[in-house]
Amino acid sequence: MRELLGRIPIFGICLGHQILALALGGKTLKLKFGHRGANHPVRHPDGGQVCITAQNHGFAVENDLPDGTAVTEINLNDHTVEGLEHRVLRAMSVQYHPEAGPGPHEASHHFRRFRELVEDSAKVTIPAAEVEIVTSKRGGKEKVQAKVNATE
Amino acid sequence: MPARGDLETILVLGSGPIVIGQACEFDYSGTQAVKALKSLGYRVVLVNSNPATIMTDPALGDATYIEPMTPTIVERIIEKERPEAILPTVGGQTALNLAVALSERGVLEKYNVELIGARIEAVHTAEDRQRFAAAMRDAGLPVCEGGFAHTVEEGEEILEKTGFPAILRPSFTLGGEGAAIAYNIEEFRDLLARGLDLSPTRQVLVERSVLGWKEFELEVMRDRADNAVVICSIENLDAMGVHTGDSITVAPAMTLTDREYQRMRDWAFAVIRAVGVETGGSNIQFAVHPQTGEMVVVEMNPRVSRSSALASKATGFPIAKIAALLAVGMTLDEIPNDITGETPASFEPTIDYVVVKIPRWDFAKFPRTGPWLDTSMKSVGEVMALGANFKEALQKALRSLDVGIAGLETAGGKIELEADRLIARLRTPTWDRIFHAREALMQGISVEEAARLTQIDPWFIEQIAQIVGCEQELSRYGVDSLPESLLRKAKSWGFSDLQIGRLIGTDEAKIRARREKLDVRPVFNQVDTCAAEFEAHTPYLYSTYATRCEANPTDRRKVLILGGGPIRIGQGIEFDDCCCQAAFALKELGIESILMNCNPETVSTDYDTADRLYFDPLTLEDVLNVVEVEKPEGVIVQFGGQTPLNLARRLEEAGVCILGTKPDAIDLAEDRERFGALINRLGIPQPENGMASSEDEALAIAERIGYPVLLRPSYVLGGRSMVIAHDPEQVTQYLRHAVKASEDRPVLIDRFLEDAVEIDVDAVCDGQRVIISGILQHVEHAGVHSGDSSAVLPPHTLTEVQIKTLKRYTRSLALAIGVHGLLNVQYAIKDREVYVLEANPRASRTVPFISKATGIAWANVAAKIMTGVSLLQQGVTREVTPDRKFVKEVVLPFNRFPEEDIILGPEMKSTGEVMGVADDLGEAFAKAELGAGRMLPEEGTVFASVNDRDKPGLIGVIKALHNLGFKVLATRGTAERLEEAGLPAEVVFKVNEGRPNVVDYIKNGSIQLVINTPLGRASRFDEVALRRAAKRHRIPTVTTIPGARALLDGIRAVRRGPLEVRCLQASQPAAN
Repeated sequence: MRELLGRIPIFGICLGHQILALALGGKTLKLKFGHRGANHPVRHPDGGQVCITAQNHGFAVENDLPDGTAVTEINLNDHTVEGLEHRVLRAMSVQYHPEAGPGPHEASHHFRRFRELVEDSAKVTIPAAEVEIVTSKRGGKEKVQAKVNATE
Repeated sequence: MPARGDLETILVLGSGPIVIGQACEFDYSGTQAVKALKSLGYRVVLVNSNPATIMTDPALGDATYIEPMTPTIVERIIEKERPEAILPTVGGQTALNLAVALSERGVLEKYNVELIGARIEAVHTAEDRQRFAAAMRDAGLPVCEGGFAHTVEEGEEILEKTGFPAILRPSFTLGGEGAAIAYNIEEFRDLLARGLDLSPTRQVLVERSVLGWKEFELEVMRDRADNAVVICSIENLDAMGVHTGDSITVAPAMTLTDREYQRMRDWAFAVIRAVGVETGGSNIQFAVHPQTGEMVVVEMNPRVSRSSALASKATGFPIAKIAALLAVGMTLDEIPNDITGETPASFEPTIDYVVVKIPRWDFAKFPRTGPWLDTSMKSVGEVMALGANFKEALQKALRSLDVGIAGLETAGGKIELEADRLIARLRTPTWDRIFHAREALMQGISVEEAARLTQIDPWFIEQIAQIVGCEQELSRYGVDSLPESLLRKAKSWGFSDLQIGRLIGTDEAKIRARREKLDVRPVFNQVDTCAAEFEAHTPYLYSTYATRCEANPTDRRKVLILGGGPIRIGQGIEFDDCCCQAAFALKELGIESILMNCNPETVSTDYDTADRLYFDPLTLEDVLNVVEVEKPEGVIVQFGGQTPLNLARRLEEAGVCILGTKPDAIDLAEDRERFGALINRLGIPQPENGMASSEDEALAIAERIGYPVLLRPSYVLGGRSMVIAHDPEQVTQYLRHAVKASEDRPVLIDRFLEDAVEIDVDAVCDGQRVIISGILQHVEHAGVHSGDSSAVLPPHTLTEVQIKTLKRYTRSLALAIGVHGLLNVQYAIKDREVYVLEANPRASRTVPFISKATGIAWANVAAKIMTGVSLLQQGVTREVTPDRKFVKEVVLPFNRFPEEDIILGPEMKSTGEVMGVADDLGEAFAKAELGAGRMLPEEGTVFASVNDRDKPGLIGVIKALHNLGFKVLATRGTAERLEEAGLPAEVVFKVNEGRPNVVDYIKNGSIQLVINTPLGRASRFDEVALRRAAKRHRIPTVTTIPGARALLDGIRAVRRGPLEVRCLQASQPAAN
């Protein structure tokens, strides 16, 4: 994933969301109550419209992410992270299933969003993304941080 | 967005009297809305003409108006209370129509009142089918082919597009009233004319028939941030063509793929947005072609509906409460889900069980109406059951109906029908078709064939076939050989002990014993909205045969209250009101209240009425299961009507403590011989009577006590099959055709007290002290069922001495019977003698009415007595005689049963009641009439045709009407008598005398009031035609002289000037 970051637009779904988060230097945690069902409300952390989504996951991304990575959606039941975005790296992800098979359709706009991302990328030459992954060990735990030197 | 701060006072509109299509689900929604708005600090004003509602409990709102729900009266309330907003979406079609009327009259503008929850524009788009169809077309959603007819000719043009069969739906009627299916042109013209007449806008939708398509409903909520969620999907077992209120329904939808369901969900959101319902709940109906999957939008209700009550109970999501919060500007993600306490309401409830609703009909009350179901709703109530699978939920719902069946079985033995008749029964929807489907499968008809004939999805038929298969397996065993695995399977498929007992030829108790021996026991699971994803804090439970019990009973002091089960004529919302009051009383005493009921329409089955709620059938088996797990100190059976009372003795035998009046005391009052002996001892007279087990015996008894006599079977209650016989021929008729008398089922014969005044006296008794809670004098004379008679509190023509006698008799009866709780005694006064007719040591229909009139919740007082708190300890020591006049008027369902005659008799037919309250009796009458939806003609022409007995009484009424300027028409006999009394009356022909006759006059709009008392059998046909025409043209018709006098008082009051309104809180004597 780190190899690809910044080079091409990325859309992570479910496990893909968690992998993206890890690649960007985030962490995941095991949920006390996993999210299972086609009835989970998500929304932007600051408000806005609620979207009902299909979910099936027992882990979630910790809401403690390196700079540049924004939380785009949270689960309203337990306020865990449901969506991420890194504008510069043109990467986005959702923890749930916008492909809706089975499940409600209202999150399908992500595919449009991703398509736009792909189209925008095609218009401009891909900047030589310089993504530097810095790993450091503190207290026996590995800390990963993505340093982005990309030019806007 | 938090709740709006610019509103202070909100007016909530109720739904008025209980009628078919609009029952106590709107008390439930209204109550929730009032509580929700109060909790946000708003001042809540509410209006509802129905006193038998929890919503109108004066403790709930700030200003409660029990007043007619007419635009004029509500305008007076608005003028007085000056609300900034009106919430019209929790009071059914009545409230919505009222809001439209207020808007059209400019009242909203005049007083600067805003409609919240629904904009007038959205209401029009949803309700006016023409605009609805256009809105759907604009949104790209398909609807049925068709158009709108304003005349019969216009209808015939549309018919060319739709073909036969064609569906007719009048606009703006409630519960699909007047909706019908036409199969030929003659029928089409006839039905269309009736539909145009019923529609307040004289508009009828003529549509392509989607008969046989599968019918689904989605309950959708939307907030002002445009968040939309589906609360529940509901599938109708019966295909399109049967009104959803008359259909067996299932939640969640069982036969849709996810793809189909998600498309329906997308469409539902498109519909609610296209119609423009900005906040609140809506119910959207879809039809799906069973083979092609083609889907059309059928209709939407832009308000809380019967289906939303069902969806709320099915999921635990309180739609009405949330709708009220959304209406004042909150959004779904700001409102917590009460059940989990932590998660927000912006989610879609998950159902990890199956819910089945079955309607309850009262066809026996309407003998001229066939048992067929169509697009006009006929059921009077419903039950709901929850189970781990469809089979369990279906069978639990069937035994909840309280019609003598213990599951999917036929009451009173086998259906014996030849194959071709059975096939015909499968083709035609009737209330008992499901039993015929079972019979057909038993006779070897295949699932596919049964599905094809019934147009019920094969999946459901397959489930029924599985039940039939299990029945056959069970019947191979005896009680001691019944294997555990089979017993467990049968129980998990919803078979009751009684049903299994019948299949293997033993009784319920033996099956229970066998079950306990094999340790096959039910557990209780929670309705938690989230399929156990989160912790639930609200104990809302149902029984099932699973592994883990989630009941977690407390060790508090606790009492179980048994509810009333399905609403039926004679056992209505009044009993639910009493059950709720009992729960409130227990709460006040710090005793845990546990409610058990199976009716989804009620306030009692709201998860926050009692501390704990068990949604299960009210049968011995199910009640014992709850008692076993909860171990309450006692059970209250006297508030829920006959359903729980019938269990009292068997519960007591099973070792359960019955609180309050003991079963033996109830029996003392209900057993004729024991009661007869008791009143003899007390020196209270009753009409002469006897019991006959043969025709000869009956004739002899009738001869002895003298005609007319009142005949009734000994084994049914509530006035079923009761008649008045004036001569031996009528007695013979009754015994030969209506009720067969036998040794074990004798016929009861009473002397009928002609022209007697009937009185209800209610009291509470703690075993030491008796307090008379109220005396209600009936307007109609004896012979009209007490539930159908209008009545006055305090009594308007009784003497002091008579009132003293009534009180004395009631006190001695209460103490002698051993009443601990409520008592109702019915009396008749004839020639100054007071006779007791019956004593009911239990809650009766009169309790909520008297409670509202006196300002004391008597059921609450009685519940406290039952837990050992005496009247003295409660401080209830004085009798209250209100200084205002309270009139009860009833609402009859004859508009649903066009074939029926509107004459009142000893068999109860009314579905609901209203209260009229004023300082002056005439004004109270007028309000009661208006509340019941009857217009009071202030001028015009009165037509009179009465029997000889009523002619003297008529003269006074006509004289008064004449003095008020009414023109008088009468049939020859009546006119002659009026002329003799010096009153001018124009003679008109009866129907069989020539033309133009009285029906022509009615049709031409030349008659504004009809006074017609039954003349007897000879002219019966003639009269029925007259009354039917009057009904069709909505001409007020009175069929008794006392009724005419009351109406006259009402007309005088209306002519005197505007009717004054006053809220309960301002007019009640301080409770002591």
